[in-house]
Amino acid sequence: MNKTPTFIKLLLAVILVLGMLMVQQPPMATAEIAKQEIPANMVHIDVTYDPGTKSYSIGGFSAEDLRQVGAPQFQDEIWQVLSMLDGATLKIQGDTIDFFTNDQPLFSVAWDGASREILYSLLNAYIELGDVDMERAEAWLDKSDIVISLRQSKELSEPLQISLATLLQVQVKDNGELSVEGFPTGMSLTPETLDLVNLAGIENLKLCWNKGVIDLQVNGQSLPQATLYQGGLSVVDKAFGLSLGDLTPIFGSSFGAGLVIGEADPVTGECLP
Amino acid sequence: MPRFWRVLLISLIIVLVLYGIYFALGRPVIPLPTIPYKVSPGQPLHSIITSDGADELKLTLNTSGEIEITSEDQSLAALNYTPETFDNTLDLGERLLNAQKSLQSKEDVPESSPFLRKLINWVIAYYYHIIRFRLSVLLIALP
Repeated sequence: MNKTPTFIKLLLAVILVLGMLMVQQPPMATAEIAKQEIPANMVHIDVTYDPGTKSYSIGGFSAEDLRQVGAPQFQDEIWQVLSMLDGATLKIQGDTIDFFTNDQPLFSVAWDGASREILYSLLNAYIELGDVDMERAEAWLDKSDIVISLRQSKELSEPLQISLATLLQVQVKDNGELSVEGFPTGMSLTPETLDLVNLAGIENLKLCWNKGVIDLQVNGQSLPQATLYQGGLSVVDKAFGLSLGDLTPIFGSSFGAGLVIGEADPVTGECLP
Repeated sequence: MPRFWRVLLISLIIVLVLYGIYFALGRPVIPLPTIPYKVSPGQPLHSIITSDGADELKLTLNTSGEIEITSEDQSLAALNYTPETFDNTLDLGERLLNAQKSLQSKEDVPESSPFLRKLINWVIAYYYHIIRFRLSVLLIALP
């Protein structure tokens, strides 16, 4: 008879202790995430060229890689001009565009909101692709950091550096036609795929690629985060004979796209590392 | 107190104490023995396993939210999930499957059992939050 209350006391004590242990969570990090600056779209493209062999390399892709994807060959006149240059650099940073030849500044142009508006007007007047969506254009070009450098060298160019916070807006129209940022691509989904997507109730996708890490949202709902390693993709490349080539530039880049099916609202937000 | 209740109480206390220790240690992942699986030439997986020369591929499921594919200790790909993202994936997979069936048969496909969905979610959440295991399958390519 005396042992029964002891058991109950012991049980209660254990439950109490364990309960307290479980409730006591590790102190949560309450420090507010420092408010980040508005994300910039950074594109650094290095181009090397050799007038002797009339070959060029862009963003870490060799002349052979470029030839495989149908990159054009330059005319002799262009090679003559290029052979006179040691290098040229175009920089779009902040509110100015700077152009350098042989490391010497050649000209500088204002690149603020007002000057960009003039450029959009010129594009609207002379290019027959439809009016430039100023809001989208500003989303891309405001706070952009673009550097394109040309170097006369036989070396392979530096890997492409792309870090785009702004989502590339892709739309699939009701007839399956694909457009990117409002411009038609000439590609379209097959009717079967479109029916499947519509029947499954998929309205939009948000895809972010950040140096091999893939975040995907379907209708605003997050799916598991996938991480692809360059070595892993090489295994798949070898297994299936895909001839993907050197993927270093892709694995050093980050970008994202928002895809909308039909007339749904555009996907908002950015892709942040 | 009857013997039955006494045994039950003692068992309960032991389980609680053991789980308390496990919880206090930070709920570490409990590794289970690796399951070897031999893949014969001609099977679809064989070319993938042999493509990097290692002739072995390891699939590891960590119920704390990670699925990883490794070859000779080098990570090839990984998938990080939470019960929520897992449920979203199930939901998407079910909708795509139903849409495909519906397109093929031109008839409405009945929805799957909500109880089964809940049961799967409970199991995933249990092994994600309460007890965590690591289960590995070693795929070995036969010559």
